[in-house]
Amino acid sequence: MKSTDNSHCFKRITFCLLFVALGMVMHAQTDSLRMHSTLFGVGVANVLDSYLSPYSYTGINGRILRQTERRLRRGGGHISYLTQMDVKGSYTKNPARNVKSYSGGIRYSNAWLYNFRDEKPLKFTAGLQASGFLGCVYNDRNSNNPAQAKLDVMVDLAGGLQYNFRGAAGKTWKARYFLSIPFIGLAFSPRYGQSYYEMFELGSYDRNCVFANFVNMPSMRHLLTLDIPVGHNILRIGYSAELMQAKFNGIKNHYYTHDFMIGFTKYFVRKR
Amino acid sequence: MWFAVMCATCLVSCIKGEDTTDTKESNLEALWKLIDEHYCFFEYKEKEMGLNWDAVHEKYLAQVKSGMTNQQLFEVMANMLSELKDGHVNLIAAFDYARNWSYYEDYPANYNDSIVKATYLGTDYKIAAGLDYKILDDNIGYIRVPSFSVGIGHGNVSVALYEMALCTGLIIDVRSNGGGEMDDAKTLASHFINERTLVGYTSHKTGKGHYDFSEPKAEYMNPAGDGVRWQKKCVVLTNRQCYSATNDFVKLMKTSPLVTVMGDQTGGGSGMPYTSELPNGWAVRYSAVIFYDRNMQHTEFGIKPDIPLTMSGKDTGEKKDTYIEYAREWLKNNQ
Repeated sequence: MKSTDNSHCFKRITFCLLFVALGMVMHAQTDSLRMHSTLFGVGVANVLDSYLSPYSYTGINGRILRQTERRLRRGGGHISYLTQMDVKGSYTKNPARNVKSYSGGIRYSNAWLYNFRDEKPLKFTAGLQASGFLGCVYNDRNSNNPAQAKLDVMVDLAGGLQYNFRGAAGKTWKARYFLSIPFIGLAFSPRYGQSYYEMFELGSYDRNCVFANFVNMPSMRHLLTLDIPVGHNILRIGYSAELMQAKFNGIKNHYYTHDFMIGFTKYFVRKR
Repeated sequence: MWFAVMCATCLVSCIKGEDTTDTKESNLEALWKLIDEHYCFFEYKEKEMGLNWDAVHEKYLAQVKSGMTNQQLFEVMANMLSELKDGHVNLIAAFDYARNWSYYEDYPANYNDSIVKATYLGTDYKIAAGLDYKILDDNIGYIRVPSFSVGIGHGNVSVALYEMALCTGLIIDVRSNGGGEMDDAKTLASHFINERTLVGYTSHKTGKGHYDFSEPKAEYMNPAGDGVRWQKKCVVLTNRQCYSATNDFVKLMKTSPLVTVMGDQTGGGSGMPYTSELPNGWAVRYSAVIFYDRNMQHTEFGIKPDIPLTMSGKDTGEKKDTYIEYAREWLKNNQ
């Protein structure tokens, strides 16, 4: 890793954000089949940031996940485009349960997935995903190191399974599993003992734009859902496991969440 | 490749926090390790006072017994931290606050708040945010800054300086000011320079080692863009209780050709303190980032005044403040 100055760092991140934004442009190139889903989740969180505390904080987590999936015309109709907006927030406490911490953030991602075995009940998808995360962790006891900003722009490996089967009342139920693994990208991190005062008051940056990859950021996001037709609607229930962790500039962090998800899904077929 | 990356990700071990075992011994070990890996003045204090942190570990670990009370453990830990002789290092529990305030407790106070209020400020002084100010009888401006925790803006400083525009000189009294926000200190000091000025250097830790530090980066101070900039002589009064942000203020003011520092050496405290914790929930504060002066010298143990002064017992008996009286005469003779 080379030392980068402020402008250089922001140029890189801007470039990556443009890459994520490319997905938005793809909206114009869709589509025949669409899926919209909004899920609300609640569960548990385990948060570590050694810049704030050497110990993991545990507590509750809430999240809202909005998904839109479209089938593209290109690629023989086998390529789908999945957009996800994932907002999460956690309230955690230290092992001694006498200090509070608040964590959260928003992740926006665009995935391009190739669909294998499209006509079969058990389908496979695999592809790439561009994602960006912006968030923070706040510790309510710390003085000059009260919070840590989280920012990353990544290319993820993404893929999943879908199994269609006959459920109650002879209606089709869909079990879906989606996995994404951050592969390569850029992330923000202070240096080991660097203060935010140095960065933002004195303009003194020191390797704060970090090359991130699946070795120094070994993370996974899992989403398992089941679509259950209920009248004219489709109820979606699921389980989300987000296992994010990283070690940048000697600072260790992880943000594990396990959530029960529930919401509704709609499928649209466009007649051309 | 997809499968290989997934396997590699699974194989990489979890990134975990430190062990949270909560015993008397593990808490002392956790405290020692926390300081060992994050404290920023080991190199300096090894040279200045022969600090040996490994020896400290052996000395205090031997004092920990499994049957001891939390208060007894706290005392052992507090004694261990006091080896660092750093006012920014604290251990904080619900029942006590461990500190090393020897930087001023071992020295004369050289400040009497009752005398300053009764003889100089009176009851009709003005207050602009954290600045208590008044024009003394001999046309010397006097600004008392008891703390940098109040929130001082350029407008506050300008109002006070404008009122004193016709004064012969100005006294800024920061004695017994234990610090606060560095931004407040810089805001006030920026009204005493006319050009962008090198005021010091900063360096932070880049790893766990005692000598792992970043290259020092120059720190500059810009003159106040708005409001009044002082153009006459100014005296800053200091004592041993000038600590942390106030020590930084004195460091900044010494870069101004208009300023003369009088009094006792400041208390120091040039490290920016961070907060962390132990498995049992006690908070720990420690110096984490080094701020040097413009000559790349540490000010951790204080800044010497340009003119050393000591409070006179005779003056105190007459309800006079030796520092203020000397500064008034000096300003009249050095316009």
